[in-house]
Amino acid sequence: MNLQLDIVRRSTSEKMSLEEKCGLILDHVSKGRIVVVEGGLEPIEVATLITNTMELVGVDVESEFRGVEVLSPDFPVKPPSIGRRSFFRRSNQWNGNLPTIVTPANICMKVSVS
Amino acid sequence: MDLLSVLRKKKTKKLVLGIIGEVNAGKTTLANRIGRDFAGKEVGKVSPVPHETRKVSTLENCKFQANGGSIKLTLLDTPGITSTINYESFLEFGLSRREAIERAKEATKGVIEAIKALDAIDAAVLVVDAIQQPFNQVNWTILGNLEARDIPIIVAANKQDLPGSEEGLKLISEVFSENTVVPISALKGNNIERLYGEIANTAS
Repeated sequence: MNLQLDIVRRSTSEKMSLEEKCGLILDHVSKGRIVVVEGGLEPIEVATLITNTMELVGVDVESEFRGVEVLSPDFPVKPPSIGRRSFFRRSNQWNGNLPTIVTPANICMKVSVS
Repeated sequence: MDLLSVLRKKKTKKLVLGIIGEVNAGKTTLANRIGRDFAGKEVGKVSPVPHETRKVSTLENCKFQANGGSIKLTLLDTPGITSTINYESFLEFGLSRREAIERAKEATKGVIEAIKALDAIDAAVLVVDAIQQPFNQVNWTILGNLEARDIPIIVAANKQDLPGSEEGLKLISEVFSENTVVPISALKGNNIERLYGEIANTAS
């Protein structure tokens, strides 16, 4: 199996609207590629990505593309250490350092950071 | 107290409450319980087959009563949110290929409706299955979107009638440490009064 990894640079995505950014990610993932989004995705961006994904899947539910999985290096593989703040705020998704990885749903992937 | 103040005090509070969560978390079971308790009718059909709820169901004018007060409640029971829909998974539940394909098509629309419904609610009950891993992308996305909209959230740690739910509740309480977590069994009605009390608090 050949896997292709596409990186969306922060400098590219910063210039894009929400729809453009999600459109770019979905365009790549729907072709079977793994997309690494530098700087990560926020929950509102993930919700838009899911909405656009469902629109695409709904066009032909029998096609090979059945959806996406969204991962970040410490999510959802293991919960972060729990403190006062809720998990998604602590999950480093918004600190801009760690990427979000979006894969086609048929690819199982785990990500870790050392 | 002047007349205006009296009228204001007597004015019934209104609340649009969304029942939100993953697929098969027990959202419609909870919505049906609320519907039965306060409107004398159910909201939708419950099934072990995923994506039984594929449209947002609305129950209007529920006379919701808790904490000694009354709320005019509009209840939105939403389809489960997911990032993946595979029609072949429905075949395992005995659906024909044609039925599975149709269900999958409807389910994609349901997910979109559920996400859009986040813009229509005043408060949310995030239903979490206490026997599943709560730390996942769907819950993270829902929670983040609700908080971005400043929508009050009550986390219902559902399925407390099932084995393993106590451990699940501990994990849910840790993961959602900043939110009000209420352990319930929507099916059996366990602790449902406490949940109703928390819903009433969001409208005060």
